[in-house]
Amino acid sequence: MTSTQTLAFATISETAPRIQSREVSPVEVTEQMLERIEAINPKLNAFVTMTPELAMEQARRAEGEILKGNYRGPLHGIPIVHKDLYYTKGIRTTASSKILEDFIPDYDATVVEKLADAGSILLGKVQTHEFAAGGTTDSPHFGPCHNPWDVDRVPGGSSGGTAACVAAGLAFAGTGSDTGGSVRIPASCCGVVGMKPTYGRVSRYGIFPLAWSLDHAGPLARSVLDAALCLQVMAGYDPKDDSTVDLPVPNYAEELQQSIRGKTVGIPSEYYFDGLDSEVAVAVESAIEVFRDLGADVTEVHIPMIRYAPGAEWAICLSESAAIHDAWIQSRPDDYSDDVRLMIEAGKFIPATRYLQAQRVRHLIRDDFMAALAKADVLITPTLPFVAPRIGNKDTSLSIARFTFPTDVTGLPSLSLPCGFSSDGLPIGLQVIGAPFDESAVLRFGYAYEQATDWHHHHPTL
Amino acid sequence: MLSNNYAPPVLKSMGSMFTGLTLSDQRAQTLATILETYMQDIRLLDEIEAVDTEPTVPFKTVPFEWKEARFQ
Repeated sequence: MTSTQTLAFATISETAPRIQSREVSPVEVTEQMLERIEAINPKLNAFVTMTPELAMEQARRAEGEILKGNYRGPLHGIPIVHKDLYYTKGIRTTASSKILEDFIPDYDATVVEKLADAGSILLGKVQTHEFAAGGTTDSPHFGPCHNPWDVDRVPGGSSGGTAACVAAGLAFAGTGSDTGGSVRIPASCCGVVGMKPTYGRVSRYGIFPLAWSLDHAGPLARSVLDAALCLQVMAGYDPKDDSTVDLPVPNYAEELQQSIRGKTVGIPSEYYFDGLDSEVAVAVESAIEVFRDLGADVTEVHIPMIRYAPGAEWAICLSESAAIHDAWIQSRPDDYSDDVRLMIEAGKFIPATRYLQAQRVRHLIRDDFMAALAKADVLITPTLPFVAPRIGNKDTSLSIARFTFPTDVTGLPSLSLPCGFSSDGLPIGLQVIGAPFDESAVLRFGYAYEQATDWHHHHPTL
Repeated sequence: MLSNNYAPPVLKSMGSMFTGLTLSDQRAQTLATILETYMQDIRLLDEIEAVDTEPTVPFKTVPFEWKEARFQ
């Protein structure tokens, strides 16, 4: 393995101390990333807009600051990517759509601003499923994004570009958004870590919405600790986003080190294990055994209302996205891809009575989850029912998010991390779900599992 | 609860009257098919007759106990 490869697949937590101690320069790290992107991105088509000049400028600035002793923290000098749904001042933000193909925002999303203030380096804007309205990231306007483990497969979506870059060693981490599973689905498909925090934990200001009451923002990274380091910067109350909650943000990296011995893992007895691919089932059952070996108690829990989660998700997501796109779907319908246009048009036929019923039912689903979480510290489930589908396979487009919907409907924090591979060599994801604003517990259980296994050390060959 | 008849002619008529959409026969057929798929899940919500909660409102969907925390 060359030093470039070593650096490409290094984690933030491994690289940050080397940058802080001046053993490695942010300029060197960024140059290597840009070289890798040039060599590998043509196979993946992950980038919509590259920002090499900006990246080098930021890297030189970071180097100068660190040489003067002004180290800002673990993300200082670390190259990242943003999902092309996040507004970036002066940099094109397309949402992988034709409608916004020339849109250049005049302000940064709050999360973009926070990550820049932490000293991270922006390599570019990466693909999303058009307007984040799907799980495959195969925009007809910019071409399909490919899965680094098998380029004939989708990377998942909608944050597929971020997951593909992180898995392929084209960035240390990146941003995603999750309305029906769009952080966790690509994390599972690409074998990386994706963290969807509690609704209200991270600002969505400056992120193009898919459905206001379901949208969450979160990081994707190559380890649980790295996801924690990114979330630390992204989290917190934002007066510009009225959904955010003014609660203290714990020190996630510190809290995830705590032992899970004697803690309780809940396994839902319904829903999550229905229609599961057999290889996914085996991987998740093995993961549950790892938690037992780590000293956790494993108990069965019941969430009977969960059967209504897909109905609530569809009624809310379709209605809200139809409202968001109301003007464009009438004036520019042919500028949407077929699947997104159909979804938005369908939303215009959902009666307000059903939308409001769905908003009421989500409380009941949440109450069931809270009852389960009173008996367990976290819940463990598969992230997806199957591995990454082939590009063009439309049969799985509605079922891919069945296991990720419930925590968008309820707003509960949930993490996806690698827990094995199929016989085809495709990653399998494990989902950890926690109580509201207890991201620390979710990260702690994920970290404990990760430390006991080596799935996160596997990388695709490209 | 409305039965929601999503037959293609109904969609064409509703489309022009209420939604601002002008649908061809083929488009209405495609839309009817996808709507029926979504409605298989959405209709399940009709099983719940009494929900003793107010609907949350977009932009303000933080559950009650989280809102409480916000004002502590």
